[in-house]
Amino acid sequence: MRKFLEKKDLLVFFVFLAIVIFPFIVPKNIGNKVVVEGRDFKKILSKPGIYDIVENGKFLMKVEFTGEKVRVVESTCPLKICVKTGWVGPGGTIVCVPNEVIIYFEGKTDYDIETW
Amino acid sequence: MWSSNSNNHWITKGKIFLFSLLLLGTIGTFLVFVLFRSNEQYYELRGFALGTSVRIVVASKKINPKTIAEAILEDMKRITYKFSTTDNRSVIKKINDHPEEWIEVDEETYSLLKAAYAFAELTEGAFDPTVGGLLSLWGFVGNYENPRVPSTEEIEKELEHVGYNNILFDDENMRIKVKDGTKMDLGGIAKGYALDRARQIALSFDENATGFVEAGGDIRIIGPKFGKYPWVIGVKNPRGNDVIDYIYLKSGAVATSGDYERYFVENGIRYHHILDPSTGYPVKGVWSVTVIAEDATTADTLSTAGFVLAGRDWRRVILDFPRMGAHPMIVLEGGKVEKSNTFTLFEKE
Repeated sequence: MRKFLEKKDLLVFFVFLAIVIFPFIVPKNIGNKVVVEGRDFKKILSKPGIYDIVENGKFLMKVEFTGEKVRVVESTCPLKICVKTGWVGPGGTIVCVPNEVIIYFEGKTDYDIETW
Repeated sequence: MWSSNSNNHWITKGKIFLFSLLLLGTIGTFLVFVLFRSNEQYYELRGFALGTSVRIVVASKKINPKTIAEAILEDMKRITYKFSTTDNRSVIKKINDHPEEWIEVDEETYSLLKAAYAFAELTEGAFDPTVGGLLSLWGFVGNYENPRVPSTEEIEKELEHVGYNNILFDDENMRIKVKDGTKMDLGGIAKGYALDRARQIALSFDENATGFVEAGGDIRIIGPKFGKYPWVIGVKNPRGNDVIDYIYLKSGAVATSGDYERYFVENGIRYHHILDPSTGYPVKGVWSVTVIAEDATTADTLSTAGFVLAGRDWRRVILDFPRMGAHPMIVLEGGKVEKSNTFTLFEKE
């Protein structure tokens, strides 16, 4: 007589289960994304390149995004702290206080927030 | 394979039933786990206030967290202009512009200035809200258009007007005045106060709200992550873009003062914005001071005071601050890290 549940049946069951649960357990691939936020604008950088950040027709800064890291290449602010911050990777933030621009790299980090 | 035999037919039906039961049970358990885990959805809002970037992360089961976050940001903007040194709506500008004149103020202003005075007394002037004139002299105000190294004479002249005893209080009539030449700057306390207000605002909407608020690297916890877990806080490397330590907080606040926030370099020397109120020059020998405290006002003021004092004697900061409810970690010039024993308690989950 045939067994109630054979190995093959269990295999079918688990394959089916894996297909159903797969979308839940695989993290959504959000890709590396940089957000540049100013007083009146929000710009998403999702492709590598060098971007001019302009607000109301006024040039504020030049931002370079490699896909893995981001930096401010030049800025109109006086102390250039944003430029001196250098490259930042996922979870990193560059703040330009005089131009009121925040650049944050959305990505996975092993901490929730940073004190600086 | 599947058989048409009546006995096997029963087994097939049973199998389908069992499969369905197992599958539903597993998926059900999984969904309950997933839904339970994401029970609280965190809403995140970023903006500019208090002269720096602000990040609000909040969740509530009672109120739309967006409403809470927007109310917090709006209040932070109100605090920004109210306690600015340059905005025409600022009460501080009004007091600074009318020295030797009693200025009537509201309860919030009076309490905050009283708190600033108390922290100045507590730290024997290492934190001092009367460094406004000195900061202007160095160009560390507004948009830092013209930072420069002032002459010794200029600094000595300005130092005559620095001293928290130059702020006078009239408790009965809630009036404040400063002595001639004294310029207040609440940059070292307003951020902390705004963060404590932010938590109050969140809890006024929903007493069980959770999340955190960050302004320029200073953090106030609203409530534990998902109501029960600590928030993991990375401490920035003062000379790099990585983190050098982790803190776990379910409540309270943390603030860092560093020489890398606002600075300029002249003739190869780095001049930063944290001035020693006793000398008028940027503090030397320290890269950053991080302080954990029960509230953000304490953390903010004592991270500044801790930076100033660490430049003179870092051991005193390590030993004295825990008695004030502040747990310090100091990164000395060269990168050596010193911390109080109490600080290490927050390095574990």
